Amino acid sequence: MLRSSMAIAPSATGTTAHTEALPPAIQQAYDAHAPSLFRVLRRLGVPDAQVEDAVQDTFVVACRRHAAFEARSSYKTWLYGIARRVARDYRRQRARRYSEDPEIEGLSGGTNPETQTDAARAARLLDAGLGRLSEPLREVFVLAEIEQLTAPEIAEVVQVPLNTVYSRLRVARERLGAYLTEQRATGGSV
Amino acid sequence: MSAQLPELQRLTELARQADLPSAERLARVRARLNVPPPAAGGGGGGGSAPGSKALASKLVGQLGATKALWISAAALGAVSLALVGQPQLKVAPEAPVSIAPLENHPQPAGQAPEPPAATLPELQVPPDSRVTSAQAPPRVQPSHGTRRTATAPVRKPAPLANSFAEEVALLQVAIDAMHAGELAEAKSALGQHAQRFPTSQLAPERTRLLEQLQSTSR
Repeated sequence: MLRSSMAIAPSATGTTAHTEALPPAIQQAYDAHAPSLFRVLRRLGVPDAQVEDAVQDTFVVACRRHAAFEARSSYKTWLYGIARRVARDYRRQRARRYSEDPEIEGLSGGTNPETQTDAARAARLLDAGLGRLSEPLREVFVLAEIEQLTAPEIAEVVQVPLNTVYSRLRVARERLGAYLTEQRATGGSV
Repeated sequence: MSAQLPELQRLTELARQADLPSAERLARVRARLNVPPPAAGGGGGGGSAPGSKALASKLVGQLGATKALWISAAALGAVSLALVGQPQLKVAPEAPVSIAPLENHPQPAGQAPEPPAATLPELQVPPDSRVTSAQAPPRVQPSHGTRRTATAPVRKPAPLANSFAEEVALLQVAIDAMHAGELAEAKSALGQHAQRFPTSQLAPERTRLLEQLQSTSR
């Protein structure tokens, strides 16, 4: 896991906690972006059981690099960029695919139970499809489709040219579309 | 493939609902990070601390300074280009032209060196085999009953290999125009994209840019 140079003390549960308050801008960023970061980290392949740690690590890194933020990008895309690297670290540590862990407890769906069931089913299906994509394709697809970022924003987060974002997005959609077709043909629920 | 796009979007929309973290999870991480709960009446992320305002203004200031730096650098570049003019290649007339001797160049392995031109044997052509007059090939008279389409089927033009590049170029034009504040040009580029690539895989990006454009023009 990533560890900050700031004062961090182990908590009673074995995880870590900050002993100092975060800068106000980071606190504000937490209120504004933490739900999205939960979502993006999860979709980028961080197992559900580790998402909270990953969100924490993202903010720890943000805190550490806060002074280096030069406002060349928006704060949101900057945070997403950190989250992307954190997710990569988690995936590599875990060394197994996210799609093998279908557990999605602890995630609240809509208020309507019927919708929640559909949403959970859709999430599982999407996980399985995303698990078939390579890391670069998956990142671009998640940022575009789940987080609704624009292509220039994705280019900032992923640090690739705009053309590359578009071509990765196209390939990712084609592959996921083919996967859905395959699922339908084999009787899987879509 | 693009027919699956709406289905894919529906799926991601549903998955997005499932991915929202519970309040308990958010609170747990908040406690671990030692982030105080948002101020009452702050309005979900709108709670602004004075320090964050100061930081935001500092960031905006930095952005302004960066932009100013870029603009001044560009202006300086333009002025220097105008002063210097077009760069020209100059070759000194007295510069001696030297050709390295042929034997100094290494020959590729397995390739015999070429013999000098003087040693090439002259071709001996018998006089009767020379072509004395040009003869046109016999003309085939087309029969009146035949149709052109019967002999050679008309080939459909293949889809352009670089249509994706064109598509991306149109979106890029729209993005650049939006950044430059030329909204009409951006709209025109997006309209062109919609006309030429109505069912493209990048149609959601076009829609997103259009939404962005509409919110900018308001």
